[in-house]
Order: sequence, then structure tokens, then C-alpha cells
Amino acid sequence: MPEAAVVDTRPREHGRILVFVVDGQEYGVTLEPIVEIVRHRGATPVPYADPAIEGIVPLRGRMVTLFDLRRCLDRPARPADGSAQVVVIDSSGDLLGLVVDSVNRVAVLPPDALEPLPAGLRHGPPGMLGGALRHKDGYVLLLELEAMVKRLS
Amino acid sequence: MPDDRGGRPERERSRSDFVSEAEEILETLSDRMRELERVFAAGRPHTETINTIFREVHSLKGLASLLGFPEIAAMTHELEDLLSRLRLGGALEGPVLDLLHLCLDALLDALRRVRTGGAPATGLDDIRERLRLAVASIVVPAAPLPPGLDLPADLLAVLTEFEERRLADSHRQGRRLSLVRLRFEPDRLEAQLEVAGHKAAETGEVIARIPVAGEAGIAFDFLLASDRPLRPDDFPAELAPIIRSITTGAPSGGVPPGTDASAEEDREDLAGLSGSLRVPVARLDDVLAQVGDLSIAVAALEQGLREVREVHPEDRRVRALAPRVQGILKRLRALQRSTIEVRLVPLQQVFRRAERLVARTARASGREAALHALGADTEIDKGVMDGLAPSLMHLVTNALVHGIETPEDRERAGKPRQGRVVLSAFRRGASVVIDVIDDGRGISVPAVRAAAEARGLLHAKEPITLAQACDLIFLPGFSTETRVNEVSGRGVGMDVVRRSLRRLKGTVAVRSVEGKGTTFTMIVPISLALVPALIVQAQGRRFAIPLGSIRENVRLLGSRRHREHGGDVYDHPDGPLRLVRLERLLEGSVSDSREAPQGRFALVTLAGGRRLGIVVDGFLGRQDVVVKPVGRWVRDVTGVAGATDLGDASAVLVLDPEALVAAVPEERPHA
Repeated sequence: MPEAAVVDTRPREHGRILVFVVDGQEYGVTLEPIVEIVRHRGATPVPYADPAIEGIVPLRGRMVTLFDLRRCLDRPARPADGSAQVVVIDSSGDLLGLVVDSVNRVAVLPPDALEPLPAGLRHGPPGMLGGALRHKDGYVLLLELEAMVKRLS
Repeated sequence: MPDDRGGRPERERSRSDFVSEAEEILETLSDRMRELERVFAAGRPHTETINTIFREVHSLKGLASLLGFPEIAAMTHELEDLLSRLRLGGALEGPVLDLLHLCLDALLDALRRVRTGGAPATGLDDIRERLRLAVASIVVPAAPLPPGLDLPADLLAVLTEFEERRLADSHRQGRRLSLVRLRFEPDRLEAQLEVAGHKAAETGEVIARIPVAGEAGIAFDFLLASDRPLRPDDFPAELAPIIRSITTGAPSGGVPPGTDASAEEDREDLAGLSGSLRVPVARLDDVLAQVGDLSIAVAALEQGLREVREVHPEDRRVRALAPRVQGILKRLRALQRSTIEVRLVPLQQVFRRAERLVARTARASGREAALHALGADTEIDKGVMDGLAPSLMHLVTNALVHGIETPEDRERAGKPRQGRVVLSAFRRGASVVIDVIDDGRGISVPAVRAAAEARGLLHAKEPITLAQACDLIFLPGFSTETRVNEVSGRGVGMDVVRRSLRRLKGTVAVRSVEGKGTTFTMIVPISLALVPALIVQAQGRRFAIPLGSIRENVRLLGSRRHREHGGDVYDHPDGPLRLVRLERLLEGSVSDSREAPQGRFALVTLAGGRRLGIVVDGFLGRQDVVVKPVGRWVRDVTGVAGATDLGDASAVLVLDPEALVAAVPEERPHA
């Protein structure tokens, strides 16, 4: 396996972010470590794993660990008939897949645009979000991937 | 004298080790000398051949100094000096060639003396003197660097003689010269340098690697000779490569076609002579992984084709495709097998190390012991062997320190003073079985019981069987206290052995007869790339279970099943067999209050001494699976060894039944 590139997964100013929806709220992650986006077609559950881990799926000869973002962010479970997409991310050589409701767009993070988390929005466990970006009437909440991944490993 | 007694066999062993390896090297050297004669006679460039001779002499020098033959080490050292002068472009003339022959003859003679145990050779000092004279007389011409070479002066100034020569040679051969600046992170320097080195070697020849001063962070300039222009993506992007191609005033590629062809011929001759090739294991892994993925892709294609056939059963074109896809799949499997075979090496290598270890350990612990190796030619994957070696050494050490008694104790017990440790290996299907057998004192059940009790692993006065005692020694923590070890006789880090075997998708078990001896049996797959497994079904899900961890498959007869102490027990010919359903194991419990459905199968597994029948709904077949690692978030999950893709784009967990059983709390039937 090739040496894993260490990528800074914190959102950076001027950086580009991928915006997706989880339970009606927009979230974003920085674009650099994203490998690809695939349709969610179920996963093989792993015994004894963290409840936020939905299971594993093969992707071109490698195994991707799926994280249920709804669960990570203390959101209600996805409705049984709800479709979902998987944002596949390279994390220090391992592939992790963020299960999201849908992927919306790629946005640019302008300088000084990052605001503290607005009160009133549900934030899930502490440390998961790194700030908010105003967009139209609402906010895009930026995920702290590194913190999230650490909490689970 | 006790020292002498132990010392002689050790010296014997290192002598036989030295002789066998040195013979190999000298054989190669003779071949290379003949090659050098031909090159010399034809007036062709000798650098390549001298390089190979240099490398062989260098290996011999290392071997001689390692195993304690200083005369040979000293002489090869001088020989190395001479050869490096020739590598730098010193003229190869008749007298020098004669001297090289003389050296080879002297080395052959010295080796003969070592083999027969005769007096050390005397002529070596004389030859060393002649070598020193020859080194002094060889003039190494200044490297004819190409004119107008567009290289920074400070860089040119730090190049060694040898590097300059390689630079000039590469230019003469018409190769492209480039200077690649790479930046490294200080705390990952070592790993990154290694990657950079690999990448550079892939693109061409690394002539020099020079640290760059005055740069932010750490940077190195790689001076590379390549056959094609370099691109930034030849290197990892994180190293921020900056590539500068180097030009010269004179047109490069000034090699007469004839010279080129003869150089080509040289290479062919060399390959033909040795008949073998050294390849980095990582490169083979890549090939293997790609072949594996290709098989999976074709299997998926086959599945898709089957679905199309169901929709168009009459279509002639669709029908004609099926055997073709089958044919590709069959050939791919064959390719996969041959690729795996390339990586196989004989166990000889570790067995030899074990032999040296026995000699050393026996002396250190006041034991007399001999090691007998059987089946050392059994082949196994290089990676599996490397993973296995520490465990094997551990078991061998334990056999001596805890198994074999002191000579006095052995005499009192009516045994020969010298103990025996037998290493035996044989192939069984796609697995290799390795036994470490000693004729020592065996495992004492009362001692293990007492030790386990002291560690809080057992209730006081709880009786245990020999099988349970054998299992206890594998528990973590059993061995943390030396005093306990000494009493119990076994168990220094046996949990570590078990863990590392498990990582290799293998198992370790122990049998023992008190007073007679102990046998540790390790079973590992021949190759990790393709693990023979049983595909089973439980609760509608599929699982792969490596065959090595299954003792037996049993089709359960309802009449032989009964409930006992709140669990399912099967009346097995070998004794009552505790049954537990796979899905219950995965939930972390062996207790089963519900009556298990009938008509199922059980996989009999042995976790140490504990037999357990794992009940599944069905067998879907036997298949060699490519075990893929899973992400670190699920890697250390108990009972999951990895995952595999059987060709239908869904992951199937590869289970480690032994770990699954070990993870659930032991429940004694006699409550």
C-alpha cells in the first residue's frame, strides 16, 4: 500500500468544502481528503464496533468503514426508505465513508467567513464542529473530521 | 570445563553456517570471475561485473566477521579496497586480474580448512600485502565530467568520486539527468525518505542524495539518471517535488551503438548465470493485489452475465459469453496461484536461526540440548515466515528454559542428560503445521492451577483438567510475574504468541504429558494473500472462517442434542461438545436460553484446550479468500480478522473463531 499522505482535515480559509445534508441541516467538510462519493447500498455490520459505525463496504479492492453521520451528530435515524450517499475519505491510509442524506455542492470558504457556532442549532457531541458559514437563510456547519475520527478510534 | 563444553557445539554450528553460506558466495564469485575474464578478453567495459564481484566480496566479509573468522574478514577487506578502485574506473590489467584469481583460490582454500577443521590458512597475510600494493598502484582517473554540466558548483563540490563517475557514466549512456528537490517533515523524515528513495529508484538511478542547507524545514536534492523525463507526480505530492532537468554543453547519448549492444549482452549473460532474481516483496504484493482485484472484478462480471442470461435465456450471444468469462476466471486463479508461489521461501532460514538459539540458550541456562529439524524445506510465504519467526523463537526458548530439565534432574528422572527439541514442519492442504516438541518436564496441572489462582484467574480449589491448564497459559497476565513462571514452568508471554499467530490467521495449541514433554503446534496459512476458508451462513448473513481454525465440521443430528445446564450440548464421539450459535458469539455471549433450531451444522473449534461447536445455518462452500484489512476503527474488534469481497460488491467478514470464543466469558457447565 502506498504511503498515506497526511492531509490537514480542518477547514481552511480559501479552502473548498463539500456541502451535504444530514437531517435537513447542511454540513461541510474540506475537499482535500475526499476520495469519491458513492451511492449507499447497505453495509456489512461489524460486531462489537462503535454504534456510530454502520459497517464496512468494499470499494475497488479496499474496505471502507461507514460512519453514520446522523448517529455521530445525535440526529434521528434515517427513515427506512431514505436514500443516502457515502462521502469516502482517506484518513491516514484507511478509508472512511461518511453516510449523508445527500451531497449538495462544493463551496468556497472565503476569508473571515467562519463564525462561531450559532446558538439554537443542535451541535451533537462537543468538538465535532469547527464553526459555521452563513449561507442564504441558514448555516453550513463545518465538521472537524480529525476530532470525529479520533473519538471513534 | 563447562565453558568449553558449551562453546564447542556453538563454534561447530557457526562453522557449518559459515561454510554453507560462504560456499554459495564463492560459487557465485567463481562464476563472476569467469565472466570478468570474458569481458576483459573482449575489451568490453567491466564496471557491471566488478560491481557484482564487489557485492559478493562484501557479503563474504560481513559473514566472516559476524561468525568469527577474522583472517578471512581481514583479507576480504583489502580485496574490497582493490575492487572499489576498479569500480571507480581504475584500469583492469592482466596482473590485477591474476591477483583476483589468486584471492579467489586463497578463499577457497581457507574455506576448505574451515570445513575440515584444519589449521587456519597461512598464505592470507601474504596476499593481503600484495593487495595493498596493487591498491596503491592503481590510478583512478579523474571522472571525466561532461563539459558545461549545468549543476550548481556547491553540489558538484560535495559529490564523491564514485558519484561523479556514475554521473559521467549515466551521461555517456545518454540518460537524462535531473535534480529533484524534495521537502520532508522533520518528524516523519525517516519514513518519507524511504518513500522518496523508492520512488526515485523506480524512475531511474539515484546518483546522489544531498541535504540542502538554508531551506525552511528539511530538503534533499536527489540527483537522478533516468531514461525518460521526470514528472512531478513521480513523487508523492506531499514532498513538494521541484524538478530541474540538467543540461550539458555536449550532446549526450554519445555511445557507439556497438558498445551499447555489448552492454546489453552482458546483462543477459549475468541473468543467465544466476538464474534467479531478487525482487522487493512489496512489488510482488502489488502484483498480487492487482490480480486479486481483477479476479473479483471478473467474478462480478460473471454474476452480471448470469443475471442477463436469466432475462435472455435464448440469446445465443449471451450463452456464448459464459464459457469465455469462466475461462478468464480460471486463468486468473492460476495466475494468482503462481504469483503466490513466487513469494514462498523454505522454512530452513528460521529453523537455522532456531538451531543457533538452542545452542546459545542451552549454554546460558545450564541445559544440554540438541535441536532436530524436520521438514525444513517446507515452503511458506515470506511475510508469514517473518511474522512467525518471533513466536517460533519464543517457543524454542521456552522449551529450553521451562521444558528441558537440568542434566542432573534429567538423570534423576531416568532420561538422557541431553534434552531434545524437535522442530517439525509439514504442509497440510493450504496450511503449514509447525510443531515445537520437547522431551522436558511437561506442564504441571497443579502448578498452573496454583499460579492461575494466585493471579485471580481461577477460584480457590477449583479443579481443572490438563486441557484447561493448557489453555490458561495463553491468558494475558498469566506470565507477568517471574516467580509464577518459574513455578508453573511455562507461559512467558504465551498470550503474545497467540496474538501474533492470530494476526497470521493461524492458531497455536499445546499438548503435554507431565514428566514426558510438551508439544506446541502452530498452524498457519501458507500465504496470507489467499486464505483457504469456509463460507458459512448464519441468520441470513455470510461469514468466511479460515480453515486453519476449524478442527471439524459436524452435521448435527437432532437425536444427539440435549440441553444441559442451560446450554446446548452435543453427543460427539470425542466427548460432549458445547454448542453455541454463531450469531450469539457475535453478540458476545455463549449462554443461550432459547432452544436452538434443529438441522444445522457445527464448526468444531479449539481455543487452547476448550472445544466448542459453533452452530451455523449452512455451508456455502470452501473458497480461497483474499483477506483485506479493515479500517482502524474496526480493526481491533474481537473476532474479526478482516473482510473479503466474494465478487458481489458486498463485504463478508473473515472471522477468527478462536478470538470470538476467547472473548466470551467462560461458563462452566457444572454450576
